[in-house]
Amino acid sequence: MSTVAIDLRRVEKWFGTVGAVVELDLQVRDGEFVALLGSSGCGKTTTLRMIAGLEQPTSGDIFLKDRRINDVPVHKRNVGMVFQNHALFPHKTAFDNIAFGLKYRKVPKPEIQRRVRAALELVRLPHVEERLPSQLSGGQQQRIAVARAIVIEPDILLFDEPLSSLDAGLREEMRIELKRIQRTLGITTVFVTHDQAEALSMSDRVVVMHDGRKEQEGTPEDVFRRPTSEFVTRFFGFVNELTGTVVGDDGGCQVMRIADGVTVRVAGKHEAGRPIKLLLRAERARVGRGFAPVADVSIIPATVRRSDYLGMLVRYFVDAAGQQLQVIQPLEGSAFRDGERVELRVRAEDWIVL
Amino acid sequence: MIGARAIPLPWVLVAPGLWCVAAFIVLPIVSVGAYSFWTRLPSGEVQTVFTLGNWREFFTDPFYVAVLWSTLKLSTATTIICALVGYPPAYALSLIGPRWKGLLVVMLFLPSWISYVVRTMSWLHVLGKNGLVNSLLLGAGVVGEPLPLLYNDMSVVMGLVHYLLPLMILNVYIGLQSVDRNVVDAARTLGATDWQAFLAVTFPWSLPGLSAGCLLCFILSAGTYVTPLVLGGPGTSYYAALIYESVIPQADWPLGAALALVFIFVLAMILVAYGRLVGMGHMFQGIK
Ligand SMILES: Nc1ncnc2c1ncn2[C@@H]1O[C@H](COP(=O)(O)OP(=O)(O)OP(=O)(O)O)[C@@H](O)[C@H]1O
Ligand SMILES: [Mg+2]
Repeated sequence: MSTVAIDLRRVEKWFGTVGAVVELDLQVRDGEFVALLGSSGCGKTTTLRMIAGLEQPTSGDIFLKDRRINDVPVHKRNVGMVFQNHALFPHKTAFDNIAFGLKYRKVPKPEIQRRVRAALELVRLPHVEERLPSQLSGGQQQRIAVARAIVIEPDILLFDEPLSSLDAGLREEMRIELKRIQRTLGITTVFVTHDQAEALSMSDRVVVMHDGRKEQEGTPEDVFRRPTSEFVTRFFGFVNELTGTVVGDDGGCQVMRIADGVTVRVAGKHEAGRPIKLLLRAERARVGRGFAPVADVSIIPATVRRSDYLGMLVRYFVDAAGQQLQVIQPLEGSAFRDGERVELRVRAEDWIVL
Repeated sequence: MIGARAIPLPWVLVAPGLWCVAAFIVLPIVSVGAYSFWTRLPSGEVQTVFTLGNWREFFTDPFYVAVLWSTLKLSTATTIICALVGYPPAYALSLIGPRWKGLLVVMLFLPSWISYVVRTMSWLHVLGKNGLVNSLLLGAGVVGEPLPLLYNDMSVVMGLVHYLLPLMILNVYIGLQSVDRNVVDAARTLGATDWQAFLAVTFPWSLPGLSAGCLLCFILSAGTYVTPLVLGGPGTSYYAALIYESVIPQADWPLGAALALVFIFVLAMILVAYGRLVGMGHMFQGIK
């Protein structure tokens, strides 16, 4: 049983009448990597800044390893923070940037040398000590910012969208790098992002925020596969919305009518006699022909209306069950043409009923 | 059209500016230069006869250099006071929310809507024998007779600070505007106290604005003649007032021209030295 490193209890932050963070409970275990995921303005940065001590909560308590730190000033909290725009000291060299925190900790000079070098090794960026931030590339600046945050051996590491200013390729690379560094140090980490792929691929646990509140938390697979709210469902890509009524039982599944003469099998038990909202992710359905009629799979006749070529993937807009649905799937061979009659296959467990 | 095609675009774009510089700066200076070598007849009339007399007068009479020296000292004092007094309000202005910021900046420049001369004159009522300060002090019985607050170097510096402070505040404020709050916050998370973070990040970052403000204050306070004329006393020697004296009341244009040229040269030298010291590029670009 690992212990709780960061503990937010009923934390709120109000800017006038704007509730930036509302009734937030958040626990991060020792060594855990937690991603705060949410769209712009949902209070991610504010949460992070409260943990760092850069912002005072309006109410609620923040604990760091069982110590209440509400009244501990920023410079005594020993947190490492990496900012979105790197926030390096523009007039200091890479070495001095990294050494900054150590100087205020009264670390002796030779020790500073050693630790800065070690940090540069860890972020795999030796030989840039004497350069100014303006003489470094975006990715290199990011590595210096990380080195600067970890060299002080902080109790916790906070990232505020550290990769959002990098281009796509570099972002992927830094994702792996940051994860490796975090693993190596085993440091408790809170990582703020609005990029779902980032959150899902890097973290042990994802906390989805919405309008200042915690919407859902769980393992990446949990929140992705078993969203508990429509907001979370829609957050991870395009979602089709249908309405169904329970008309029967079929072993482990229930049979629902989604249009005149069209029934599907849906996993789980659902209330009969009233229309139920069914959600279906675009990438959980398949467009094809001649699907084998296996149990727990529904096959719905459909017509291709339009398709978007996405490289490795293709997006179909199909007419099925009396409405237009979107399907994204790998492109095998050539795509179906507009107007072609096809079939839509959906597994019973892929319908999301909230 | 043929001409326009022959001239590269950058030159076309700077042409109006160059013409202005030529017409309003270079030409007048050249003509002032010419004047300084002409002869003034005792009647006050100027004859286009070459003479080195005006220059000899400047270099042989230590009076002129002494006035120049005292002017530079007073301007330096004014600049330093403006910097010290102006920095804190500029810093406060940079921290304040956007709602009040606009209003405060407007208020900063509200006094400049009143003529500079009138504002300078108003000090007479504050510092004079029967002025506000002396009336209060006399009334409270702190002093037995009015203090000589007016017509000395102190009152000149005070008038100049009053005139130039808003410009200093604005320049420092603009410099502080460019400070990235995240970088200050980064310093704080790394273990710097608020004050240490200010010294390590905010202050160096604001130096371009501060040095621009200092330069502006220095040049303007060195060049003004109204303030020393109104608030200065018999002991006050101010170079710009000296030029005014020789050109207007004494009608000695050639000497005034020589004095003015010396002044332009000295200020230009100071500008160059200052640029070397703080770095002009750094002053105009700021830290990227
Ligand atoms: N200093 C402030 N004064 C007033 N309102 C603020 C302040 N800081 C944040 N807010 C508001 O609080 C809310 C949450 O802001 P926050 O910066 O935490 O969002 P975020 O999730 O980090 O968004 P983004 O992804 O755009 O960075 C927003 O509505 C924002 O307008
Ligand atoms: Mg943010």
